[in-house]
Amino acid sequence: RQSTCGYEACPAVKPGMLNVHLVPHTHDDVGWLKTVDQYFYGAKNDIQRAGVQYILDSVVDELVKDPARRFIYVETAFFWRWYREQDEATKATVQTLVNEGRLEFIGGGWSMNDEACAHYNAVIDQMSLGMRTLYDNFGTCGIPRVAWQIDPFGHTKEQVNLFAQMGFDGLFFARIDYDDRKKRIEDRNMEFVWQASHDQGSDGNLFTGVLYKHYSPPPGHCYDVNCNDQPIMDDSRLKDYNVNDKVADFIEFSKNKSKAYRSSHIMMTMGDDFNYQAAHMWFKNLDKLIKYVNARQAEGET
Amino acid sequence: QSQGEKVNVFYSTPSCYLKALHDSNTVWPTVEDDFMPYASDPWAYWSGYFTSRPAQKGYIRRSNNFLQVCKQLTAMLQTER
Repeated sequence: RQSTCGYEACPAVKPGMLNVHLVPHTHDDVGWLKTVDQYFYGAKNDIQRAGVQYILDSVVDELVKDPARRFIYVETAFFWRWYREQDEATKATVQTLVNEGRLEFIGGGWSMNDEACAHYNAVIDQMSLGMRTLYDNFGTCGIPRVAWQIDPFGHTKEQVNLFAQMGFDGLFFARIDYDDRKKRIEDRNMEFVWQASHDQGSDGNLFTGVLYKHYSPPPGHCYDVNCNDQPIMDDSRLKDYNVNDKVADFIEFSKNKSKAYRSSHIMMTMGDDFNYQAAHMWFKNLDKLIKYVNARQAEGET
Repeated sequence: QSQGEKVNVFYSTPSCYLKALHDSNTVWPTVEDDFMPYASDPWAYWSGYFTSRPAQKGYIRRSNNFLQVCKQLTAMLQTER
């Protein structure tokens, strides 16, 4: 069976333009305000509205509808709970999505581990467990290329040294000191090569990117069932038509953000904590956002 | 297209973003130290968690030791069989 996962499955970019990579994602803590199993089932929603089983159900439904759509999943502890209870038809669908690079595993450990208090031995064990589970079910297309530590509170050299030696090509995270962030935005130093090991030399090097505004979507563009931003209302016969405002707002944010980065590409994390329980809401609005922003390329500014 | 917005938006993934950066032949700065401690705001240093729940931190370290012992004994039993 032919697989086109990985870098070969990447969308084409346009030279001479600011390329905005929309990355739909959900940050699913493996236990926090609720237990891991409460989060999985969506129990005790009075504490926090979060049910990971519904996230994975609805994301798979939405990915099937359009081959251009992408989703990344990170926490294998949740994915394993979900996948083992799917029927053969759903498993085959998921395998197709993974093989075609439409559903991609990022990070891939059993969880997104802490970097301050964890022993390196335990970090390796938890990463191995997650990666082994992905490899056993999806083969090489299940192996993540990018490490994803978007929520840990600070980052350590040893973690990056381990990631580099596990074969990751890059790492992204969100939480750095607020003063450091300010300076890095001014100096366009948000992305760098982290030389994490004196002993290993270049074997401990890893490309690292700092996200712009936490791991959230741009202000006004959270389309999750848990968010209150306005949807894209694109029928001009109806009240509150807002395509022009939505598009202008998104383009302005993109241009401002790109001033902090060195290449002609930026990444927009389109998701947040336990988002995509009703994935249709996200994807329907992102489809429209893509359509109407790119339409400006041809029309010109009005 | 020349008079239009030069913004192109599409579905992607972190690895495809990384590939695009790689293909862009940009020169990157380097970092050698780490990103500790983390402060989200003035007077808000997240260093309390280095020591919070000391009992649980202790259990986790001891559990890790037990796990390694279990793995080594299991491996020895399998090779002797």
